[in-house]
Amino acid sequence: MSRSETGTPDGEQQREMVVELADLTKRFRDVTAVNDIDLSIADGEFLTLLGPSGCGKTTTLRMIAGFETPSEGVVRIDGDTVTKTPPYNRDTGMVFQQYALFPHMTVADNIAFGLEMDGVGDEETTERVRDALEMVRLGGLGDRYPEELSGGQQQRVALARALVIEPSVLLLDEPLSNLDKKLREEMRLEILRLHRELDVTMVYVTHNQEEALTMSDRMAVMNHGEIHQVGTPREVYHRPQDAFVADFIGNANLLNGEVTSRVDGQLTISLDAGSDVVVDEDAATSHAAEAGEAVTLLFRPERFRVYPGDATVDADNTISGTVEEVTFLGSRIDYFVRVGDQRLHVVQQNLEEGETFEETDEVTLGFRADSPFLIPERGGES
Amino acid sequence: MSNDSTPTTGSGWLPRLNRLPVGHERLRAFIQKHKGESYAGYLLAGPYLLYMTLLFFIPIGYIFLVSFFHNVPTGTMEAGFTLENYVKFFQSGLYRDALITTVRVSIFSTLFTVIVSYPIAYFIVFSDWRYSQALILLVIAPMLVGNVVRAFGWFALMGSSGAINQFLSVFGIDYTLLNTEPGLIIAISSVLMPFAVLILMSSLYTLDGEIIEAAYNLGGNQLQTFFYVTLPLSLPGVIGATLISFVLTMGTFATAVFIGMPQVPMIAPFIYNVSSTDLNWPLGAAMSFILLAVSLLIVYVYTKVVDVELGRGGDAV
Repeated sequence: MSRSETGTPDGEQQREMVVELADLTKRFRDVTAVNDIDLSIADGEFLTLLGPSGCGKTTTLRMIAGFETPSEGVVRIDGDTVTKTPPYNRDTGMVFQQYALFPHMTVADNIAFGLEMDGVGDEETTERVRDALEMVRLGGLGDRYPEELSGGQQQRVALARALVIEPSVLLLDEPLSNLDKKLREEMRLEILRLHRELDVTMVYVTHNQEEALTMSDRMAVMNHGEIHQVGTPREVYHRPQDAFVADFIGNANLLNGEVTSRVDGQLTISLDAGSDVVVDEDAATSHAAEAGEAVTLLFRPERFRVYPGDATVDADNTISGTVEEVTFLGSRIDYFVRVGDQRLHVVQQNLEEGETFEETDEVTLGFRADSPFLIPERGGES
Repeated sequence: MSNDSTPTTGSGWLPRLNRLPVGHERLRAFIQKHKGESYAGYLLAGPYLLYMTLLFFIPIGYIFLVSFFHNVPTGTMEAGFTLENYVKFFQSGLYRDALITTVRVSIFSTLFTVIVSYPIAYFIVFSDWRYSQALILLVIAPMLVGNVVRAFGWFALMGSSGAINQFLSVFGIDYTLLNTEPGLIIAISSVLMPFAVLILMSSLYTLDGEIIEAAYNLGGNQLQTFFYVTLPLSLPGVIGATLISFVLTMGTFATAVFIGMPQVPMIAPFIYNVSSTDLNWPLGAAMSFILLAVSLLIVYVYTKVVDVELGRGGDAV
């Protein structure tokens, strides 16, 4: 299996690994929450654990923090094995979904807590707390109590409290999911700014693919306790390892077919929906497909061009179909096009020269030979 | 379609809207009509207020009056106004002693109860042990036995030939708990502990587990996390448990009679004796009022001190 290769950041081998997870498994009674994962997170990296609820991403984060003890496997932080080390002896900072501020302490006391536990002197503590408040732009609010702050402000306090102890790695558990949309986008930029300025390693858990795509250096896509793929947002979006990743990140049209020929770096694939398409082998797949192999092709909705059904189309490939549904979204229009027994999701940018279509219109979809991606079959796994 | 034939699904024991009792329309109309009015609160509290007025405030008020009556030795009393009952109480060394002992035993029983109950409540709430919930049953089980029966049980256990004595004699210790203050405090605490554990549990259950995890994450070990975070946040429960324990002990009767009397005199048995043996109702009434006043005073001072000590934290109480 090639998964272990993707567990290391590409071209970053010289960088130190801050967090290393090896063969990590967590079982709760008869439920396996995390199943034998490997992952390395480099110094200064922003890594996202992305997946649907119950996929094991939070459990993974909690094993890094030390709140859960792995059933099997090893957790290393800064090269030290900490698998059974209690959380208070691990060099991590954690930001919780519900902020988890101490309600009986002022903002300043909240931030000072970690420093006091570390035995930092009073003078230095005062100074570092003030700096931390400035850093999250809450200067002057140190005497307030958490309940007197807005959700966004509370989350900033939580960030300051976790960062002031200068942890090796900052762990964030869905930190933005309790905020409204506008605040969420603001805090997203805020977290990225802190990541840039402090150069701190961050592990960020989210179920929100947009957050993962916009924030991550690398993202690990999880489902059913397993890591399906680790890669940069672009890699994961354009070259998904399997159908789950393709479908979970962005919108995906997945069409089954069979490779009929492989000539000069070009694959001809006969789709079950009825058309033959020609794709570039280099662009379209990460493994060598052979003639006769059953494959799944991923078409991203925005990679189609929509033409009238009777037009002569200058494209590498064309598929004909009937518009079944039109959704007008302002900047773009979504079509659902019936092709054989498949329904394709097609996105058309709302450009002034573009021709738009209505339900029941016959259309031709054109796409380039390098735009579909051939998803490797997951050998031997269910 | 008849509502009655609708199959019950899900949480079937919950009252369902279409299963409300006959006449609920009239009840709803009544609520709609009055809910916005200023007297709505009194309407809701009404049944309880009526109950308390008839069965508590009026009798108490009558006892208060009686405490100023003049006692006639034949078991009757003469209406009037005299302070002689109160004077008599404070002139008697026996009664003064009993009052002081009662306060002291109450304070120590309360401390002992809360200190012992907190770990139990903490364990039930936070333990991963799958049977920890079953401990709740164990904790409240003593309540199923009446106070008198339980006190008699302690009497048998603590007596000079009881199990505790026999056990201690194995180690050559000759110590009898019966009729001592420690013995009384232990026996009283067994009455108080179910209340204290339940109150502390409900307070610990409301703690946000992530807040405790945050403290661990910031480097607080178990002791630091407990004293800086868990304990301060559970103080409302601690205060509630101390108040209940203290007030209950101040009026202890059965346990005081079996375990304490006469070496450890408590006030409640004296009130009983004075009222039903001596038939001196005015003195009994005065003693009751002194007990009530002392209890209220201590509770008042305690809550004031707690408020000041906690400062702003007291807002959470």
